[in-house]
Amino acid sequence: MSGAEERVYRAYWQDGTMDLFAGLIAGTIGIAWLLDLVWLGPIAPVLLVPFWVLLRRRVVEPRLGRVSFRPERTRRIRRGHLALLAVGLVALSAGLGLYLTARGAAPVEWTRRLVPALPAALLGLGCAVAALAFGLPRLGGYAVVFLLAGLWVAAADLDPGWALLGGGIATALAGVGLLARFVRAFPVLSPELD
Amino acid sequence: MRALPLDAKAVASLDKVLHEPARLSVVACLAVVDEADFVFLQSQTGMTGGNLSSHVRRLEEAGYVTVKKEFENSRPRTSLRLTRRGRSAFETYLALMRGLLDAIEGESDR
Repeated sequence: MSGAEERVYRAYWQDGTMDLFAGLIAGTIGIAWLLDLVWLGPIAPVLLVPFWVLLRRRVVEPRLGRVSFRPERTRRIRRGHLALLAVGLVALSAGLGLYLTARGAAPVEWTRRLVPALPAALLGLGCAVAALAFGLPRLGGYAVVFLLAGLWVAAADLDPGWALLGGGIATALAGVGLLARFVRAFPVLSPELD
Repeated sequence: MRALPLDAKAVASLDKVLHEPARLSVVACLAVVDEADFVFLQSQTGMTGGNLSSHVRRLEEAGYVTVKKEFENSRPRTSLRLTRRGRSAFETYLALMRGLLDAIEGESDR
């Protein structure tokens, strides 16, 4: 039965809205970082998540419908959310802390040069955990994108905000592509029994 | 070509309500979730609203699914759930089909 359940579960997350908003959140954190308003970063999810809920309700649910998963799956989803939240918080505070403390104090030159990559690399770690927690391989792709973006800013000696912004834009664009495909593939359906 | 030695009794005992592709796909979908709404079942089975309605009605008459109609933010919403009887019938159907397929495969391997 797990194969059929996996298929139904994955169908529920193929609309791209999660990717779009995750990208927007990462991008907003990046912009806040670039503007030296790092404290604004953690507020971004609080501001954007209600719009995600609204978009799902207005665009996704009339096409895909709504489903409650069985208790085992619900427990797995809850564990995934908690793991993601924990990794997200650790990544954000570790990224910020490491960046602020190590940018001028790294003992060896090459480690100092890698410091700007940390925030994006830690966000990539969050994506990798989410990929495992939710069983969605494309999130692993985003992990690679954030890691590469981090290495790019480290190599070019740029502000870490650029990596978050770049990775965020790439993730959001992937979400827009998925959403466009979803809207084309799924028409609005009748909500009630005839 | 030799006829396969299928158990005629087993074939005859297949649940006629479930042994229909459209209804089987509805029940298979409901079997892996707790509850799904009418839109979700249409999107997953590819059936039209009218077609799905007639099959759901048949499943409801057989006592395999329960249908709950409600309004949410003044919009109609119909949600469906597999009953215990429906789940048990589906599991019996799967076991019978597995047995029949095993018998066919066993015969064709000889």
